[in-house]
Amino acid sequence: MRKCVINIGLIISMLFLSGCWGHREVEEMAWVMAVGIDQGSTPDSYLITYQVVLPKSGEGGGASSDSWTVSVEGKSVRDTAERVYNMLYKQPFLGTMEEIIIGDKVAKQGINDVVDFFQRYYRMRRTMHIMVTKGEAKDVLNTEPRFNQSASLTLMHIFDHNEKTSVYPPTRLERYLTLIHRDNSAQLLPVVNIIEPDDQQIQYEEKEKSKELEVRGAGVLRRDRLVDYLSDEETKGAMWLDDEVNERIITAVDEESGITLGGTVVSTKTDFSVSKEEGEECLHFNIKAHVVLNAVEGEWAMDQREWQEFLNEGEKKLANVIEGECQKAIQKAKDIKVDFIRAGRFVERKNPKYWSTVKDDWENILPDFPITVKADVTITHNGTARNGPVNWSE
Amino acid sequence: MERLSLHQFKVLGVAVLIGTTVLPLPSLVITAAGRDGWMSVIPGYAAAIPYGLLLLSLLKKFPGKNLLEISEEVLGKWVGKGIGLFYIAVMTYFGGLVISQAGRIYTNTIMPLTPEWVFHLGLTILVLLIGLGGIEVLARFSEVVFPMFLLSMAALMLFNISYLEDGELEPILAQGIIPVVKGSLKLLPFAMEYILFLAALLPFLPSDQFAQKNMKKSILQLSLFAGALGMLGVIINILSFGPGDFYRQDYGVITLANMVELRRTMSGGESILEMFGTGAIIIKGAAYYLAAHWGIKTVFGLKSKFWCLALAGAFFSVALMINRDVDMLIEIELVDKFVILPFAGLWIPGIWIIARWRKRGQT
Repeated sequence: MRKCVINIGLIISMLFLSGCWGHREVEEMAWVMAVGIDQGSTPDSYLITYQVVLPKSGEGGGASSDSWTVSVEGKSVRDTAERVYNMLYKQPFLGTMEEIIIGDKVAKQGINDVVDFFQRYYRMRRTMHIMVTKGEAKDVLNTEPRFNQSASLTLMHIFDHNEKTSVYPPTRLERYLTLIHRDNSAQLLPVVNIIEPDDQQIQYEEKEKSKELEVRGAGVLRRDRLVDYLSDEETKGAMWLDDEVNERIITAVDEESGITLGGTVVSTKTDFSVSKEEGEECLHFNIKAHVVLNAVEGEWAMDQREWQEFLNEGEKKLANVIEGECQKAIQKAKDIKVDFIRAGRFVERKNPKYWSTVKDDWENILPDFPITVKADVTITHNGTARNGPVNWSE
Repeated sequence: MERLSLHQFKVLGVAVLIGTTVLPLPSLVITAAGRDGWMSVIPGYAAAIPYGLLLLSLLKKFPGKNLLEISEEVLGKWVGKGIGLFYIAVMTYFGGLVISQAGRIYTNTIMPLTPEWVFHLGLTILVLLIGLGGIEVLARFSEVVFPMFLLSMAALMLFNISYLEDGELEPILAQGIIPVVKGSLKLLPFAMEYILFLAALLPFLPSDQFAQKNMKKSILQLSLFAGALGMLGVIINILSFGPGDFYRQDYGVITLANMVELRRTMSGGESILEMFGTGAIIIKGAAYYLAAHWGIKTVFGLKSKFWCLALAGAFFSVALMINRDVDMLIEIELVDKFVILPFAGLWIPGIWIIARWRKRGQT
């Protein structure tokens, strides 16, 4: 009898062991890749743009995807998500989100309210990128880049290879949430721009789909509000100071000889120290960079000794470029009285006692606070050829 | 009579000490000591050492008896039984809360649509099965599962290296040593949770000569090892979130695991961590189950399977009683702070002092 009951129990239990309850096939889902947040038609509403990728089987057996973009106005992100659920024939899945794009107007009002949903909802991951645009996020997501990918996938790939250029801060949600809690918190968000032919020194043939997306520069946030934008050089300077540069293309021009040096920074480290000079605290940044020389342009020919001397000078020129970018970032921070270069945090780390006396008035102290930058560049490789393609006898 | 080996005693000790406490631990110490919270962990867990030594000293005087039996002998039958009854209630209630915590972690993160009772029931059944198997089964289970939990934690920390913020631990001791001490005090209940389990475990401790010699050393080792693991967890959390963001987190470790992206897939690393984390929770739940079970045996002399099932039913009922995350967290904090800490804090030294005082009186 006992055996019989156990056997029946085991047979019945097989019904519950399929492991497929409530399953959803990948093809039945619509993957939300990016969300854009703009100001709605009333001050208390948002226009939320969703970009959804719909997987489909492609030609030749490979997988491909269609994208679908829709903007919905509502009081909150969650509020609008409900509308999207009722619009799509597939089930939207928010766990695949890679980007949050925030329009200029919303960013200027403060973004903490809209960010809350993304850091709380259980399907979201804090690794998603957060960025601002000078116009509307809706326009960014409605852009169809020429490679025929969706805007969200294009941005995802741009961020994937950010470390090859390090020209903008690739801020993820987790970093935003960490930095927002610091004293006098200020931080940078990358700026995504829509590029058109002949726009910003970029040229290409104008066709039906003629727009491209570019991530360049940074928006400055005081707490959670956008207060200003940085130029390309200022952003690059801030990246050096924050030790966020992995690889960087760098160019210096020797005005005397007219020779242009172009190289790739392959490794870099920014250290800082705080010292007392003439009775005042002073913050020093010390940047060490290793550069591989890629291009030396100009009319010249040198022997080994001259080449060695030239490289010594070249290292100084490249260091000047780095120092110049940093100085621009520092000056901008002082001008707008927002410590996006995190000078206060560096002071706090090295001299917490002094920091506790100045932290409440730091934004007013920053403009007169002495900050120095010293860059030290080593050209580790210069390629296999010394001279350029010039006629030696000439 | 079942006996643990020295190795099993150490692994089980570390598992019960750090098993579930690793989840709320970082936010507790960071609340008290901010960036310096990591320094609070080892001293906090080290509180288990003097209490463990007191229990070993009592075991020497009353061989083969658990603290409930010793209490009856030292304080008299009825006072001892009263303490035993309270002990059973605490272990049952807290064990139920541990089960509830595990279920809530699942529904809060990767399986929000599954009813909580499914997790509570599943975990209770596992705890019951281990409990029916006895202490050796729990010890072997710990030896297999707990290292996997540690490995998953280590992998989680490794994969999060790219998100670490440079210099988040600095400045060191900017607020002085007092906040660090306060942080350690907040961890005392965690050490006492283990000590209460150890109080009932005494008769099962290894009895061979080598083990007897090394018991004190083992308690020292397991407490410091648990402390070191906890400290590592806190350091990773501070470096990842910074103290400000971390202060907001109930379970930073889970958030951290969520950031471990299984490339271009829907699930994050939290599903893997939770799988092994469940093992750690089962170890702790089963430890309290066995402690309550031994208590029932000692106080009431009840040994039948019916009472084992009834105890599991009590665990399940407690887990079901809690409806909201915040209620569960506050309940655990209250029981830790106002029941477990004062109970273990007074009971063990009290018995030790009275036993010693009586012995002197007799001599």
